Amino acid sequence: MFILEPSFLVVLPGWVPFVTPAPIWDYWWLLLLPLLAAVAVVYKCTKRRTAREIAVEAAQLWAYTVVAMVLGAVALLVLVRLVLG
Amino acid sequence: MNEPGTSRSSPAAAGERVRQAGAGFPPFVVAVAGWLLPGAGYWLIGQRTRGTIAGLSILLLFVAGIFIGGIRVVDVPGYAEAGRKMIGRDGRWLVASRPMPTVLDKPWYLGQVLAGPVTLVASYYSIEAASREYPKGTAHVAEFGTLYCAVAGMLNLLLILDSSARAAEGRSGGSGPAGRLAGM
Repeated sequence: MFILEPSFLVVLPGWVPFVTPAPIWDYWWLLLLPLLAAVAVVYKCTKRRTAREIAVEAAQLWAYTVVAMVLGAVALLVLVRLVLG
Repeated sequence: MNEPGTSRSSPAAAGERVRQAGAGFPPFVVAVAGWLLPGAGYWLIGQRTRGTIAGLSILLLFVAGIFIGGIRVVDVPGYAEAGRKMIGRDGRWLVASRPMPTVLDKPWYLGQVLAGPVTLVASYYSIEAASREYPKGTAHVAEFGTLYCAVAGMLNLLLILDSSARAAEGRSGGSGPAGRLAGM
């Protein structure tokens, strides 16, 4: 096993990929999108057989999930605004 | 040989191929293979496209989690902040003397370890990074890294269960729900 010597990996000040967290502080919520895509692909892999079917249906599922989460976020925002006045 | 008039690409033929391929491996072997390498369980029962796509997705998700959150998103139970083993009052490692509370103290690891030996390799480097005083991330990005790795493991559990159920249906003749799915 080689010893962890990550200095050669430094690509940005303060960020060593695979060692320290990526500097995407303001856009962390966008990380939901690839996570949902992976869930959709793996789930559809258990249901469909061909690569084409998996791709098409996973894209649909991903889109539905994103839309549902956006609608949920808007509903929660409205609720919070109403409660807080 | 196919009989005249039958198509090898029909769902029935595909299901039959799966049943024949799955008949060679017990579900336990398929499950273990699926843990050792995500998607390998499907390969053993002859569903290589499914296994490749699902397995690569899981490995990619796991690696992406470490990429964005740092290696310390894999937080190994029984190790303190500086990468030292946590020793109990009886002088034994806490994982050995009090396994349940120690593991449940870092519950994300339970999901992460389902991704297979890749988690064990990541654990080694996480402890190594901790001993070199690389801190754990505390921002949302690090939380997402932890989540990515844990979801990768839990998705692999889904694949393990699905592939071993298909293998079981293949051995029993494929009359149950997984046998019907085998044609998909």
